[in-house]
This record gives sequence, C-alpha cells and structure tokens, in this order.
Amino acid sequence: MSHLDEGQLTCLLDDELTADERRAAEAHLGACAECRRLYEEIRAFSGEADALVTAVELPRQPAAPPARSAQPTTAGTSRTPLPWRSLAWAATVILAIGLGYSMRTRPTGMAQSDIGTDKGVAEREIAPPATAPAPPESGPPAVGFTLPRPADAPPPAAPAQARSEEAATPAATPAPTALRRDNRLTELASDATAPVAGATGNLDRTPAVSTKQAPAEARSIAAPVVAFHQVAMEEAVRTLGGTIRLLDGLKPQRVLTGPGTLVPGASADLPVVRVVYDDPPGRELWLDQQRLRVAEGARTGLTASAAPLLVGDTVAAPAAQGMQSVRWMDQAGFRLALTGFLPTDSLRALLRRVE
Amino acid sequence: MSQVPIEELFAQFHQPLVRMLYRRTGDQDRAEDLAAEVFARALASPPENPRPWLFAVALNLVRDDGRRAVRQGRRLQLLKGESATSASPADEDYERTQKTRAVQAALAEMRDLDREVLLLKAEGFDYDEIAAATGLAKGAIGTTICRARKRLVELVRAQEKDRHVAS
Repeated sequence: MSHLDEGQLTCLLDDELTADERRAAEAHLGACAECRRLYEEIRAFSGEADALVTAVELPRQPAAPPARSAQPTTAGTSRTPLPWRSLAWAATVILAIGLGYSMRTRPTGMAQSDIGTDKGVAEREIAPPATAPAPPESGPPAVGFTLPRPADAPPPAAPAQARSEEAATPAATPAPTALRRDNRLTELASDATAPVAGATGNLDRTPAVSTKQAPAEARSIAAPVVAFHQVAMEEAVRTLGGTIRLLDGLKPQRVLTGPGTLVPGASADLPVVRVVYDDPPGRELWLDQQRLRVAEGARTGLTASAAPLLVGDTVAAPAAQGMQSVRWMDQAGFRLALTGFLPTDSLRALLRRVE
Repeated sequence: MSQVPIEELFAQFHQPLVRMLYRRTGDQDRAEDLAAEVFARALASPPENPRPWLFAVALNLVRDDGRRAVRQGRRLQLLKGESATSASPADEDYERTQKTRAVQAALAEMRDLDREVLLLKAEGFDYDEIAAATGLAKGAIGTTICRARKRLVELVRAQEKDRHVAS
C-alpha cells in the first residue's frame, strides 16, 4: 500500500472511513513509521484546532425558543405558528409607525393661537439644566427652543431680516455633545420660515426664553413647530423610494425624517431623511438626503429656496452654530447635504465616501 | 422527507446557529440577527433537509454580511464594540477573552471554505453534512479540514507570540 495522505489520515482520525478502509489504513500505519509520524502530527493539530474553536462560547445565552403550544395541531386546520422574532419585528414596526404618527401630528394639532403660548409649549418644555446658557441680551427675543451652544460656537445669528438662508434654517443647528447621547425620539426644529434665530431643539432641550417673557409681537409671528422624528432604517429607505445613501466607514447612530422645510435648500414638498453619525471627535454629523422627482432631479435639482444645483456640483456653505455644510446632487437624483462641525475640506473628503 | 415545523427547527438549531455565527463574526447581536434571518427564510421556504440547509444559509449570510462590512468599514467598529462589551474586569477572564479574540481573528483571516468546514465540524457535522452544506465533494473534505486545522493553529500561535513579544 502506498503512503496515506493527509486527507486519508484526517478521515481516519475523524472516523469517516468505511470499515474496510479503516482496516487497511491501520494496517499500513502499523508498518509505516513515516505515516505514523504524520498521523501523530495531524492528530495533535486536530485536537488543538478543535479545542480552539469549541472554546469560543457565546458570552450570553441567546434568546430562548418560543414556548410550544399545549394544543395539538390538526393537519389542514392549523396554521404554522409564527416565530417570536417575526412577531417582535411586526410589533416594532407598528410601534414605530404609531410613535411617528403621534409625533408628527402633535404640533399640527395645536391651534394657531396656542403656538408660542404656555398652552402650546407646555408639553415640550422641560426645566433647564443649571448649566443652560442664558440667551444673549442683545439678541432678538426668541420663541420656541434654542440649543445650548457649544463652547466654540459663535453667538446666535443676527436679526432675522439680516440672516442668510443658512442661518435662517435652524434645522442645521447641531446638538451639543453633552446632550446628544440621550435616547430621544424626536428632534424639533422651527420651520425654515420662522423669523427666530436658532429656533430649534429637542424634546429635552432648553427653551432659550420662557414664552411668558416673550413679547406679544414675537409670539404672534411664531411659525408652527415642525419636527424631525426618528424612524427605522427600513422606513427611511421606503421614504426615499427604495434606497438610501450612507457614509462608508461610519456607523449610523439614528435615522430621522422630517419635512423638506427643515433643511436649507431642500425641496419643501418632499421629506428629508437625516442619517445621524458621530464624527471622529464624537460630534454629530448629518447626512441629509432627498430623492427628487425624476423630472426635477434630472433637470437641475433646482429647489424653490436654493440656487440651482446641478449634478456634479458641490456647494459649501456655513451652517448655524459654527457648523459647515456641503451640498451636492448625485447621478440618481439624490439631493444630499453633509453637515457637521468638521472643516469644509474634511466634509468634502467625506462626501466621496457616500454611497 | 417530511418538513419539520419551524418551532421545532428553532428549538433544535437556534442556539447552535447563533454559536456558529458568533464564532464567525465575534458579535453576538449580529449573530442573533443573522440567525433570525435564517429562520425567516426557513419559514418562507421550508427545507427538506434542515440541518445542512440552515447552516448553509447562515454561512452564506455571514459571508455576504462580512463582505458588506468590509466595504462599509464596519468590521473594525464591530470588533471595537464587542471588545468594549466583552472586556471583563475579572482577571481570570482575561486569558479566555484573549484566546477568544485570537481564535476569531484567526478565523477571520482564513479562506472561506477552510473556515466553514472548521465551524461546521465544531458543531458536530459529519463529512456528508459538511459536503451538503458547503457543496464540497465528500472526498475533498478530509484534506480541507486537515489544512484548515493546521492553518488555524498556526495563526493563533503566531498571534500569541506577537502578544507576548508586545507585552
């Protein structure tokens, strides 16, 4: 008999040979020192390798299987029971839709007379933390919500009539790092047309000025509060017609959607999907996206409130609170904006990783 | 062959599937998600021969997931996240954790086929079942397993050597 190869010796070791093959192999091993040496070597490797793999055990018990039904099933009359995971998934979807609906409808459900009053704001007003910054004395009276500013951020924007489009659209206002990691469900922001500087915030954010202190004329012109709300990735994908743009190499922290009015230069009549990331220093980085209608996107990507943006164009602009924003159109009709605290050059480098 | 109810498949194979996927990915949450996807597919098209089918689907999913993760640069984050959660303050767990990471890193470096036969063998598959799950000819499995075991041991030893040199 010729020498046994590694495959045969491994089969012998794993008890995968037929009785005849085993007898022949063992007979050969009894007579061949070279094959015996190889067999011992393989056996040592095998034992060590198998021990290595089987030593990797689950850190925790996986979710338990569903409880078996006590009722016997009858062929033809029973249905295949659903696995618990499917039910959990369905429940999650229903919950997400319900939450999304409730968060969307709340602001619009307020009477106009309630907006900017205690009645309208009370539900969203939360006691300010001790470190909440005071509103600038020289600034215009603010109604609604203002984010506490990062330490390095410039002061709030100039009066409403002098503001640029970027500053006038507080959807680009960042969340400060200290308040960013809570489990919030919504991000409230003022309408792009609201004449209030920095009038944006979250449920847990601090009103800059109590509405009791706001002048009557300021309250009378306050715009309805519209909101970003958190959604599942699947819902965001559906919103964008079956696909979504993501930043290669960064992990999305959460996904939000809101009306186009919340984002500078976006089409007001289309929803915006915002994918929120953390940049390397841990601050928020937003990838806003709209999928324009075929005719609109193919033509220019022109929006009602922005300069024409052609496919291939990249426009950089300062955003509120010291953020920078880079906007562009891609070939598939996506209007995108990458907004964060990073320098414009870094944002431009990052946009090449959007896919 | 009659089809086994999905409940029974779940009870019988869920934990082994999650375990195999965890050994492959190093991320238990991801492993459980992938296992759920495997059972969702089994629900949609019940397999005739469930054990090799379920594990073959799981291996395909994790392979695709791995490619996507590499493309999106997510692998490092997963490993980082896992190490953050799995790092145990207890000294006695340190060596075990290091060994687990070394094995997972070594498995990640191996060829798909080599890694898969090892993982299936560790779940008690015989050569017929491994052949059914991987599409390999049964006659080639002995050689493949032998090569894979040797490679795994070499990779882990090399990592341990590096670790000792570094420390």
